[in-house]
Amino acid sequence: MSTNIWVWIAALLTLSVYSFLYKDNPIYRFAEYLFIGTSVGYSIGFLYWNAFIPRIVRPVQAGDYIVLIPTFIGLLFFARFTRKWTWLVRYPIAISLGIGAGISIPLTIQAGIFRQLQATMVGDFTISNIIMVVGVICTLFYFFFSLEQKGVVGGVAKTGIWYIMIAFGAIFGYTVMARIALFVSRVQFLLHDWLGIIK
Amino acid sequence: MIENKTNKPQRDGFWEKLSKLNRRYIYMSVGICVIVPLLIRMRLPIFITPPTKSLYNVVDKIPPEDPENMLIISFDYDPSVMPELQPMGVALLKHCFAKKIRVACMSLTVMGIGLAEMATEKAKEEFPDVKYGEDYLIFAWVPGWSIVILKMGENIKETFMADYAGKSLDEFPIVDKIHNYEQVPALVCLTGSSTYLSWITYANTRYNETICTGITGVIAPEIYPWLQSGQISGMLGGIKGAAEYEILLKKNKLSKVEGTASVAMDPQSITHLLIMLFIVLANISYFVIRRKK
Repeated sequence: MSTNIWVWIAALLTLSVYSFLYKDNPIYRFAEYLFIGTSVGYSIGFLYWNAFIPRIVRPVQAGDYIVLIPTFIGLLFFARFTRKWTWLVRYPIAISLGIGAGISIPLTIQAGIFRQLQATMVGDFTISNIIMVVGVICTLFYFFFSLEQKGVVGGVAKTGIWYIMIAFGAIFGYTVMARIALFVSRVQFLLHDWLGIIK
Repeated sequence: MIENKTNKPQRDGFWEKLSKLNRRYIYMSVGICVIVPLLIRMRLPIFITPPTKSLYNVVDKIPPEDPENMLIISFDYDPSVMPELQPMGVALLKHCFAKKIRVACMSLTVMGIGLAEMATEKAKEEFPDVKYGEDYLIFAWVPGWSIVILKMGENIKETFMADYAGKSLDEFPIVDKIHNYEQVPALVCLTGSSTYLSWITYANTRYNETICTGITGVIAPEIYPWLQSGQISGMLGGIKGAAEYEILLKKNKLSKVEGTASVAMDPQSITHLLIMLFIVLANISYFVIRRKK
C-alpha cells in the first residue's frame, strides 16, 4: 500500500466521485467542487505566468510598447461588466471575428470540402470505394428536402438513413470503449498505485 | 407489475424484472468485469489495425540523430481524457527515445504542457540516458491556437521563444537547425477535441505538413474520412490504438516494459462482452414486453 500522501488523496477523491454511482451525496459534491476550483485556479495561474508575464510584462519592460495595443484591445472585453461602456466590447469581438474568418474560411473550404470531395471522387473501383461513394450520395440525398422522399428518391434516402444508423452504431461502440477506458484507468490506479495489489 | 387484457394485475415475469433492474447492479457487474481481469491476467490477443501501423511507419521513417529532422507531439488535451491519450504519448516518446529520433512536445491547451512533462518522465524510466535539450524538448505554451500552428510554418523558434520552464530556445542544441515544418517530417496531435481539424486546416492544407493523430474513442469515427483522403497519415483510436502501438514497440524490441494500455485491454474486452450481453438482453426484454401488451 502506498505511503505517499498525494496518492492517498487522489485515491480517496476517486472513491468520493464513484460514490455517486450509489447515490448523490455530500462527499461526491465536495470532490466535484474541489475539481472545478483547482482546474480554474490552475488555469488562471498558468495563464498569468505563461501568457501575461512573458507576452506582455517582459516585452514592455524591454521597451517593446507595441504589445500594449493588442493588450488594450483585449482588455476591452472587460467592458462587458459595466453598463456604460459595454458597447466597447464590439471592437475586440469584431477584430477577433475578422481575423478568425479571414484566416480560416479559405483553408477550411480547401481542407473540408475540396480535398474531401476529391477523395470521394478519385479512386479505384474497389468494393470499399463503391460502398463509400454510394453512402455519400445516399446520405446527402436524405438531407435534400426539396423533393418528397417517395419512390426512388425515398429508397435512396432510406439507404442514406441506413448508412447514418451504421455510423451511429460505430460512434456508440467507440464511446463505450472510451468510457470503459476511463474507468479501467482509475481502477488500475487504485489497485496499482494505491493498494499495490497488481504490478 | 403489468396489467393484462382483463385488467387483473399480473406478477412480473423474468423479462419485466430485467427491464426494471436497478442500475447499481449494472455498475457492480461492470466493476467486477474490470477488477477481476486486472487481478487475473488473461492476455487476450490484440491485433494491429492499419491506421496504427501507418502512424508507426511515419514515426519510424524519421532519420535518427539528425539535427535537421524532428518529430513534434502536440499534447492537446486535459486530464479528463488522460487515460486514453497519455499511454499514446508515452509510447510515441519511447519509440523516439529507442530509435534516437529527436522529439519535441508542445500543447495548444493550457493543461497539456503538464501532461507532456509527465509523459516524458514516464518514458524516461525505460530510457534514463536521454537528455533534455539534446534528445527531447518541451516547448512553452503559447496562446493563439490557429495562429500558433500557422506561425510554426514560418518560424518555430520565434513562435515559442522558450521551453516550458522559461529558458530561451537558443540554449538548446536540439532546435539549432529546426526552422519550420520543413524540418518536421511529421506532427502527431493527441487530442480529445476538434484540435485535429486545426492541424489539418492550417498545417496540412497550408504547409503540406504530415499530420497524424492520437484520438479519444468518442471522436475516432470522425477521423476515418480524413484518413481516407490522406489528410491524416495515421491514427491511434482510443485505448485500443495505444495498446496496439505498445505491442508494435514490443514486437520490434524497442520497449521491454508492458504499457498501461496493453494491461487495460483484458478488462476492456471483457466489459465489452458484458455490454453486448446487456444490449441483447434489453432488446429481447423490450420485444417480449411489447408483445405481452
